[in-house]
Amino acid sequence: MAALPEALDLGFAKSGQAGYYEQVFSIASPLHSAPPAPRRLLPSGFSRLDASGGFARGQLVEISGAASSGKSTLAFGACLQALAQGSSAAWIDSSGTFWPLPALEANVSLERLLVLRMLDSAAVLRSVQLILSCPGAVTALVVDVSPRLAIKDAQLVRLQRLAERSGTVLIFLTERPAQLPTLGAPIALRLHVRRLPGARFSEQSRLRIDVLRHKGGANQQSFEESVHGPNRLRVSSTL
Amino acid sequence: MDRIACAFLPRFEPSRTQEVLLLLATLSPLLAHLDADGGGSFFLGLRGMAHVVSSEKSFLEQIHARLRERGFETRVAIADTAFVAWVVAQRAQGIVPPGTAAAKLLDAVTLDELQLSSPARSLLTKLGVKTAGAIARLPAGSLARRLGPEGVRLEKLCRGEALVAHPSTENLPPSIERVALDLDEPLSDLEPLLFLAKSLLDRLLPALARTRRALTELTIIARLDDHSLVDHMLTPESPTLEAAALMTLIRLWFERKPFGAAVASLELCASRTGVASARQLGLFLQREEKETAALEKVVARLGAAFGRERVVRAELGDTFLPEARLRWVPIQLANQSQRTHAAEALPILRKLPQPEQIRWRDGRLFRANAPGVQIIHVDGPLRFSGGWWSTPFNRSYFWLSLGDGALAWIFREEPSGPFFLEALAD
Repeated sequence: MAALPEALDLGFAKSGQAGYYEQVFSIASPLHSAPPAPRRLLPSGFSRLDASGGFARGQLVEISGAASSGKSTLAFGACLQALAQGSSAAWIDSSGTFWPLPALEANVSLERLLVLRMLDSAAVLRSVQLILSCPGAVTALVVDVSPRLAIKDAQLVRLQRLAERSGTVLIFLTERPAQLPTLGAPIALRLHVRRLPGARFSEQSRLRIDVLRHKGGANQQSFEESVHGPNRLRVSSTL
Repeated sequence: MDRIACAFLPRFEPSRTQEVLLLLATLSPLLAHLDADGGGSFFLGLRGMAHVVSSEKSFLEQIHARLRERGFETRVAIADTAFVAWVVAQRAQGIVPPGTAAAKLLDAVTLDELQLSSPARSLLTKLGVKTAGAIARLPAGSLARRLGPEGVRLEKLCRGEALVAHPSTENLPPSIERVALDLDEPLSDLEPLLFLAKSLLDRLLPALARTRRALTELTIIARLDDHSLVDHMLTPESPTLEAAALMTLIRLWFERKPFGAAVASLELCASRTGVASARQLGLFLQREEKETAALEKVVARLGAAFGRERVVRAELGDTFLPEARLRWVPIQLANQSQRTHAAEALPILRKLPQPEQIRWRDGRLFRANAPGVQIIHVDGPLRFSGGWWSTPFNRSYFWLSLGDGALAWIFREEPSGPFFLEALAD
């Protein structure tokens, strides 16, 4: 894609997907009518989400939802897909609660899932920066955003550029209600998740996923996904 | 170019390697130029020897005489490169004048003398290459591309770029390289300290490079103005001689402000060393290897910035107690990545740092300072007991489906203890 004027480049232009400014330019100027480069995608492991493209590498994603809504499961799906491709993934656990026991009990190797237990807000951003500055190190990076972690737009723009350079899907997990805006303008995809009540733990539970923002895709979509209950814990299924 | 002496012992006994090395070490002021190939050849660099001996001939005779005194039959040769010296010493004793074209000499060296693997021998035979001289005349990189690290070694060897013929670093006498500097004025600011560390590193790394070792662990020892000592070990992602990569780790550690007072002296010590790998040479990296190398770099940087204990991976623990089934262990990356087979989503638990006491009353679950939530389904109890030899436990675990969609994992200390919230499925 041809370079956009610097003044209009807010970090979307290099994201490899048709963002707002690219759409504007493709209409306004024949000079920018070249087709965008094909996006490198990372599946999420959820069929309906993947049917709409999954996650684009280099993209910033926000997955929001209340406690126990299933947002971590959704993000972990992307990590598992990265591991299944022979790549690596990282999870920055700012709450000290990340506990992937069901995956271990299901004999999934998590040797290449790097977990950083960072309770300090500044350390979280610093570690994201350190990870993204090594291109190719991880394909999916999940950041647990605790309520005390404030991320400015300028920081997000910087992280977006680093994510793009390293080809990493950078996923922020927040507990923001759906009514609140996204973390910041550089977020290309925002999904809001909630678990539909009524499932027994031994059954599959249903997650409702609302697409609140999707640059270059359809917004305001909703779909449901199934997820195994925590019954995969060997301790509860065999003893 | 540094000249190299090779002493070849035809009746070599491996058990006496260290004895020969120590004997040769007394002849050279620079121990770093000493090595052995494990097959009876010993190498001694002549750098700096001009001030110690009158001529190469007298030095050759000196080596020969000292070895004979100890009962070693030997042939010594001196040449521009280790390989040429080795080739000559295999056949006779003598000095190859500086600047002599080695190609003709190497044409006499057959493939049998080069300690080749069978794939390498097979490839060279197919290419019609029969001597070391022919290898030296091949286009640069042609063997490296086909044979990997062995091709690199062969090319370097026959072109005279290798410091030692057929090196065997385990025969090196153990030595720890260290450099230190006492400061006139103690330093506390980051940038001057980094500048100091860089200058020390620039002295340390060439010393290692001369022995073809690369640094795998760097120990920094600082004596502070209040007479206390601070020491810290940094581990790069792979054996390295790159100052820039090490300076990144040093900077990250210094930024943690590890010194409680101004630094009065700084010492860098190559506390562990290893052989530079082919991967470090940046050759033949496949995608996964590249990603592993990048991940190792990330782990090293994060470890330097935040401490290794913060960078972990999850592993199954060998216990029945559910809350101890998962344990966090330091990251150890295998060269070959292990792919997962997971194609479907698996739930993630959010385990509370400490179990939170809750109440279960009238079909509702009450957390502290929160309204009760209706319990829709209860699965359990699953009873666990054990640990009588250390920490006994006797618990019942339940999974609760709550009215707001949450899935809660709770337990109760039996027989009638309070309920605790252990984790939520998220």
